[in-house]
Amino acid sequence: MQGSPSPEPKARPTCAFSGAMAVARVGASRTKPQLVERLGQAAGELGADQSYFVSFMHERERFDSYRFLLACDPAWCLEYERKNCHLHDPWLYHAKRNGRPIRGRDIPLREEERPTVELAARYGFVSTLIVPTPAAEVPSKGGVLVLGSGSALFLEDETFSAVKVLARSLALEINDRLTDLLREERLAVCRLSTLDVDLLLWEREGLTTKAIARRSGLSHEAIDCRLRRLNAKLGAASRTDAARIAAQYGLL
Amino acid sequence: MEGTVSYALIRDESGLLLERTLIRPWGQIIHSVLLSDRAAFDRWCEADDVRFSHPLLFSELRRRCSVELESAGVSQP
Repeated sequence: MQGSPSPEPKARPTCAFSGAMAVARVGASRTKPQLVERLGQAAGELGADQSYFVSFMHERERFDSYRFLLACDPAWCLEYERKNCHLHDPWLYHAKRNGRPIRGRDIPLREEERPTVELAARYGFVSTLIVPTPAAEVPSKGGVLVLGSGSALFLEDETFSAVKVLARSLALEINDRLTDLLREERLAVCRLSTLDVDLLLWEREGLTTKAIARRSGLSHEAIDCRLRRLNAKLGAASRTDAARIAAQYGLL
Repeated sequence: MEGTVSYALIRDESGLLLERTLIRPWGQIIHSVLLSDRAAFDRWCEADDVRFSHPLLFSELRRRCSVELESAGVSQP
């Protein structure tokens, strides 16, 4: 059947569309190098000349993980690490308690947080947009995207609202993609079987060895032995930790 | 430097990703940076204290990074 030719669209996508496309490309990243590269490209589309994403996770008691994807000068992160800035980072603090994007300058600073902000400014984060990505399914996990510029005029005009919307999408895309890549990485290293996953799920539900034995048909000894092996595979201190780590990495 | 540091290199068409993991008693900091050229790599090397605290490890890392960058056809600064 021959139809009439499609009419020309009434309007062409604008630069906001190219920002949205850059965000979509982040979501389609297949590897970590690609994810970092596309983070930088998308941040550039939003007017930022520096950016990073940090994913934080409470892995177990007294053990936290901070994973930075850097589209900025990596020397900043080394200095951040040396000075233990994560302990006094107002942007991280905001992201752990609030889901709303906010300009860095609108976050009230405590005295001990000033050096962290000053350090970032020295590396080009003079004006910033802080975009948290709360992970609803795992309360001990989250992330924050930081878009920065060496210019004090970044985000000070009418484009702010549009940038905020796209930045929120960008943060979620990075978070989702990073979670997927980390899960794939863990699965490749741990090589969990279906039974392993079941055991961890039952452990997560709080079942006793006796109850797990009834469900799985395995002996108590076999269950304990298998869960000990899973502790080692996942780098966990106990079976409870193993189940929590597996859940945090999306393995269950 | 307090803690254990390790490095991983991942290369694909986007470039060479250097992943540095520092594990301390309270937790770990992992950072991933894409080294687009030799200049970026050299700048990063200058900033990492590991070149003083673990010179052998660092020199091995430099060697492997150089090989990877050359394989990727990345230009000299």
